[in-house]
Parts: sequence; C-alpha cells; structure tokens
Amino acid sequence: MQDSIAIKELKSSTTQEKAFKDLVEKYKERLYWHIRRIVLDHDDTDDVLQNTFIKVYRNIQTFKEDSAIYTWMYRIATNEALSFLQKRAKFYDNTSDELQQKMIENLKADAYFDGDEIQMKLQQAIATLPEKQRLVFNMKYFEELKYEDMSSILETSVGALKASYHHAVKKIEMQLTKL
Amino acid sequence: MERKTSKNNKDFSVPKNYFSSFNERLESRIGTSEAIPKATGFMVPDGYLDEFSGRLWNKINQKRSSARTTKVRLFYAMSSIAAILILGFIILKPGNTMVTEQGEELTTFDINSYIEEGFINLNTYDIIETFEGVSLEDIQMTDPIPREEIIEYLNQNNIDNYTLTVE
Repeated sequence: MQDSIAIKELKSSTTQEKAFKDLVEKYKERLYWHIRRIVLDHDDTDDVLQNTFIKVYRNIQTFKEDSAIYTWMYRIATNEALSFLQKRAKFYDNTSDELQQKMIENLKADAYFDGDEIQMKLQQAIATLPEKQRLVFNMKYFEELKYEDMSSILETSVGALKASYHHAVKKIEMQLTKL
Repeated sequence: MERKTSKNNKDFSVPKNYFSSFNERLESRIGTSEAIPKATGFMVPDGYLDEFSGRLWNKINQKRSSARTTKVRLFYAMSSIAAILILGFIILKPGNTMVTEQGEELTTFDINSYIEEGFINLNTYDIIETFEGVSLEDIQMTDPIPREEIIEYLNQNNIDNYTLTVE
C-alpha cells in the first residue's frame, strides 16, 4: 500500500522530486550492498548504484506495477552490475572467470576490504561459482531475500533458485573446509 | 484431538505469525552453514551513505542541464543548416554568380563541384568561420528567386544527407 502511494507520487511531476528522494533514502543501503557483493570494489559500486537510481528516475513512468517497486529496482541494479562486469571483461579482453580472479586479487589491496583469511577464502569460493549461483547465494545467504522476491528479480522459478542455492552452499562449504 | 488443541490454545500462546513464517525460518536455518561466515569484511568510507543522495541529485541535475544544452545546440545547428541551404540555393541558381572580396568570380559550376566532392562538412563552427566577414550585401543577386521555388527545393533535398556535427 505504501509502495503504491509512493509510485503515484513518483509518477506525478509535482511530487516526483520528494518521492524520489524518499525512495533513495529507503533503498540506497540495501542496493549498495547488493551491488557491492557483485562488483566487490567500492568505487565501482558507487558508479553502478548511481546509474541504477538514474535509470529508476528516468524510467519510473514505464514501471508497470506488476511487481513491487523494490524488486524492480533490484532487477535494474542486478542488470547494471552484471553489465558493468561484462564491459570491464571486454575492455581487458578477459573471460568472465579471468575477471573474477582479477577482482579477487584486487580485493587483497583494497582499502575498503578488511576481511580475515576465512573471509578472503569465502570471496574466492564465491568467485568460482557460475554467475547465477553467485547471485542466488549472495541474495539468500547475506541479504536474506525471500525466494518469491528473488524469483521476480532474477526471473527464475522458486524451485530452480532453491536448487541453485543448495548447490552453491555445498560448493562453498567444500572449498572452505578443504585443507 | 479437538479438546487437546483447545486446551493448548487456552494455556499457551505463540507469537503472531509464528506458524506462517515457520517454513521460511526453518529454510533459513537449514541454509545457514556453520562453515560459512556471515561477515564479509567489506567496508564503506565514512559518511558515504549520508552524502550519497546529495551527490546523486547533483548528477541528475547535471545530466538534465546537459541534455537541455545539447537540444539548444542542435536547434542552432539545424537553423544554421536551413539558413545555409537557402543561401546555397540563392547562390547556386543557374546563371547566378558570387563575387569574392578578391574580385574573383565563382561560377555555379565551381560551387556545385565543391559540394558534390564532399568538401562541405556542415559544422556550426566551420559555418561561422567560413562566413565570417562575408556580408550579405556582397552577394550580387541578378534574379530574385520566388518563394515557391525555395520551398520546392527544400522539399526535394533531404537535409539528413548532410553531415551534422554537434560539438
């Protein structure tokens, strides 16, 4: 109900600016962490987050309201983050796997990463997952999103998401516990 | 069975939505692994999230103003092209000639060839530079062209064929 009021305000030119600022306040942190777990670097996350909100602002009139606004924004954020990684891989002429390994290497020197050995190993393990499993794992394990919402964001059935998550957890556990 | 349930309901209570959210909590518990840490070690610069909205709004405003400037520039460029086409038509009318400041006479054929060989690249700055110091009074009109002919010429010549560069 609150969302539908906000959408009406977001679509009206007289109330748009205030409604958009409220929307940013409400979702900026959640979307920041969602993007950060995909692109890992803070500055890259900042760029992607800004682009996400700019796209939301520009396209709000085309939002059909057949899903909740936050799942729509998560979808935009996910697509922006993945597209950012694709462009970066293309720029460096890397495969997706090579880029993931490079990102992990960069993490070691990142001023905004203070992970211990196990947290670094966790990031390495996540980086080895296929893209979809990586997304599902992050969204479920860290963000604790509901499968129904993830289904709407990733346009994948709940059953497939559960299977992906199960496989991802098993693979990560195996990597973290192996000597 | 009914009596037992009823008795339980009287003596004990459960938190609101306890049963409706039970499956979700159970799934979450099963899905959480003791081997996998919940903390990631990622940090955010101090004040980043507090300042984010302000920076975002500045960027949106910058993009808006940049879009307006581009539209204005495009409008001026299009106006310049239209003016050049009209001027060009006046100049290129068979039999017309244009006398340069050096007193040399440019024939219609010379100007046509120049354009056909692609030497004209319509850029706002090129146009200004080319026509700087040229007064319209220097153009000798011997045969005024009727308005209908100008409109017909513009209709027959698609200005999209010319290269438009917006700086």
